[in-house]
Amino acid sequence: MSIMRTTQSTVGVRVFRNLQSSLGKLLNEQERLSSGKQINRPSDSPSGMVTALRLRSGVERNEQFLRNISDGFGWLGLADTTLQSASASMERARTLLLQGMNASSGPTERAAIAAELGVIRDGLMELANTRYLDRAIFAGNTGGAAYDAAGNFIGDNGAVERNVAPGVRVTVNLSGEQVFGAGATGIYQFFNDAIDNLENDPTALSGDLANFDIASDRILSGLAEVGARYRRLEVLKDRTDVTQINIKQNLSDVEDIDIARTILDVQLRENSYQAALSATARVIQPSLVDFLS
Amino acid sequence: MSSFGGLNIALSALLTQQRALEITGHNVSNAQTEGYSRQRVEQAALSGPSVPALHMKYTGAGTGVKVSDILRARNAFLEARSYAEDGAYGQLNTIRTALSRIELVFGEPSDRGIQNQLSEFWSAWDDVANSPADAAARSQLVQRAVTLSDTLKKASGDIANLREDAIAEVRTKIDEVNGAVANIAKLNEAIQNATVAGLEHNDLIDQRDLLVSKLSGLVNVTARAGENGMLDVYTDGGPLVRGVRGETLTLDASEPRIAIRWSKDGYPSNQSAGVIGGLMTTINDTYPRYLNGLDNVANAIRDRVNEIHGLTSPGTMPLAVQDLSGVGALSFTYSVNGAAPTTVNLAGADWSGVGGAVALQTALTNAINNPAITVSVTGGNGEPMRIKVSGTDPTASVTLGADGANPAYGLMFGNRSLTSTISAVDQDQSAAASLEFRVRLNSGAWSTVSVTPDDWSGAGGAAALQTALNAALPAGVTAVVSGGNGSPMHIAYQADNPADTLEVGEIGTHPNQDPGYALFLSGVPLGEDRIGGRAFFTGSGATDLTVTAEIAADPSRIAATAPGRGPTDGGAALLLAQLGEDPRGPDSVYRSYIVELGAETQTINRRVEIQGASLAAVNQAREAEAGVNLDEEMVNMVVHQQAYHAAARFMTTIDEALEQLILRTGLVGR
Repeated sequence: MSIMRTTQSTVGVRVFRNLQSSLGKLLNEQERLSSGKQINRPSDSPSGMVTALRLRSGVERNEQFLRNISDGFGWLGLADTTLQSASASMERARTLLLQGMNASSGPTERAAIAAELGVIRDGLMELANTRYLDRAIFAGNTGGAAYDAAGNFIGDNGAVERNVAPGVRVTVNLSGEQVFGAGATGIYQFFNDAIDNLENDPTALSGDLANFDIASDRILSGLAEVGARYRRLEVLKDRTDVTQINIKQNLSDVEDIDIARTILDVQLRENSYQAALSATARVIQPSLVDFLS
Repeated sequence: MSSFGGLNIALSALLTQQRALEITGHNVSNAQTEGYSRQRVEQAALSGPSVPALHMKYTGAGTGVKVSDILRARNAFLEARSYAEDGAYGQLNTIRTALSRIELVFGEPSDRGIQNQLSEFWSAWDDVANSPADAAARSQLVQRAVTLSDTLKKASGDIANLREDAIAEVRTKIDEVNGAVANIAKLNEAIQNATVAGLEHNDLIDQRDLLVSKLSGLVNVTARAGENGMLDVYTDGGPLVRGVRGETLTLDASEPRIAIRWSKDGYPSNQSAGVIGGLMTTINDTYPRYLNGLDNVANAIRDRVNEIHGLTSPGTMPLAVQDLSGVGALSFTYSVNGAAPTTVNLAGADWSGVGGAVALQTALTNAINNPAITVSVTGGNGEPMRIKVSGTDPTASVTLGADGANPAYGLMFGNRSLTSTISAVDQDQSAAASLEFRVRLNSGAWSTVSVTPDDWSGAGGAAALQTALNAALPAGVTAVVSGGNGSPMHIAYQADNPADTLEVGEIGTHPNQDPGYALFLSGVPLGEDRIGGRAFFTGSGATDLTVTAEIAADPSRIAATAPGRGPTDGGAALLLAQLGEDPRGPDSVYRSYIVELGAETQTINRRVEIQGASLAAVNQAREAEAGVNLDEEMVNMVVHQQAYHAAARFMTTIDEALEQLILRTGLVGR
């Protein structure tokens, strides 16, 4: 191949092109360094972009899962405390009932015991209507109270669920019917029967004791379920926390620059740009004109 | 040869070298002139007379030198290539600019991008699910939905504006083309005159070539030499310049797809290269494609949200829930002829794609495993799926029921459910004997609603049915009918007062009351407003995606609750929040859109780079051919200068010789 004829203008154009490209590369690296991001627009890396977008939505989703989980902790924690109190009240009620069944108890003592059972019953009904953020936690999805003043269950058995992980939901409520019962087998009726029997028919009290045990068992099994779900949420929370850290790490890997490397790259580009400048300064100066006298 | 012939030889040399020096000076002066081609003096020796004449004393020596021609160093082949490369570069670079501008519209990835707003929108549904009665959570949801729709609207508006800008630019560029064409035609005329008169016109040709070269950056250009040194210039669809006549182009923006036409006859000139070709590509393809893509994103958001929020009808399985692979078992009960219900359990699977309906039908048949029951599944793969579970014996009565957490099932028309769908085939009711059902408000007395059967299948059928229903419905209850004319028709009954509870029940024997039509869901009930099915978003694309006015005005109308559940249930909201996790959800539609944009921009960036390199190569080759090298000119200058000196010396010598002859000869003996 013959050598192409070269003119001053060719040299100028070519030098300018090379300087431009060198400066452009320097600018790209500097943009990366100053924004701290490897991907500043979709075309920088389309595949990195889709990963970044997916991870970003993952971060947001997990934040929401964590919020949902802590809301679930609120519900289940309150249910746990409430059921603990209810269980303690049932212990006390059972002791009182045993005292009433004791042959040494006279009508006066039994009346006093009946009165105290009445107080415990009202306390239990208050517990059954416990509210979290203005919602009765044992009333299902009705929005009102779980039990009315006459001890009737007026809630429903609807589940209150929380999204806690992709495709995973946890029920954070217990139905009042399940833990306190309703109607003839409701805790309110058990207490009324016991009070009635204390006052009128002490011989029937052994049946009430059995009923109290049923009520107690229901509360305890409710407690166990709440505990299990609480534990499940704790596990999910730990897992989500770890996932969140991993996702953020991945996002950082995809989006963020390696600062040391980028600084080095900028330095290298800068050097090569300067080298190009100084070489250019030498090449474009002389022509034969300078040497003709 | 005459005695003074030598002087003439010297004179011709002096004149020729002077001319050559002038040309060198011209070259040096124009070393940096755009479009200038270096010129070269062609010299030729003047020979003696070729025909002998009387008294001729030809000695055999030549008679000097002359300038035979002044040549332009120009390679026509390289010119043509440079036009093509220039045109291709102009087109690609224009498209690249357009795509980079679209990229800037989205500003992804960032905390302000649409992806982030989508994520926040889904999160807001979870917040509503956490406290469905909380007005603040509902308002926040509406706010986020409005922000999302506004951002889509703005992005769409920005791209539309970019397109308008491009149209304005193409107008200016066409003016430039028309101006250049007129000038080329004028130069052609001047060149023709100069050629005929035998005058020097190299610089006129340079000017013309420069104009053609500029033109080649704007439109697709081919040039052909014409008569008398003129140049004909062609573009897509005909000649721009032919001899001294130039044609003009105009922009026709009267239709959505804009066109460039010839002013003379209105025929289109589809520009395939140059800046104008690139602009036309962006106006008619790139921008509309990305506007359309954005509409698809908006429609995906609208459809998926509405599907769950309100317009979903019992009897069909919405697209959103056809993939149940992630949610565990389906569960429902059936009983034949009033026997004890049997529970059917079916593992969740993805029935959303091609063949999904068949797969679901097989799976259901196997799960039921009872020859007395026939299952048919239609639709799917982009259409809502319809499931029918009925007795094999037509006289058998089959009752379907819910089991445990799966209470969602419904019937097709006018009974039990607040929303119903009439299939496309059943929309012609004109042959039916009666169409009756009953409604009641707040558990009061039932009112019978009787509608005269009619054909509601064609255009306007939905409106006619809505009118007929509303005329028959008691005060306080409204029917909303949508769809029809080829698609399943959707009927929603709603109580006018949100606080009222509405029940719809069946009487009569309409075939659509066949209780065999049932809907299966995976324990996640359909979103249904306490009032009745209502769309969350309205609009037909990114430009007008809007939160439904009723919901925007009163966030308590957001349907967070699943049908049959208490007022503080968040079943529908939970389902909506999960749309953000859906691998085929609106998020993924948006992500594919952005990735397509990124990939296309990246590709065009590379193509521009490659095209830029080949353009530079051609330009360099052209410059190598036509450019002025100062060293070369200096050498020429010195050579011509020396030749001039020598010629002058030759003249002096002849002069001295003649002097000797004239002044000093014949003086012998004086």
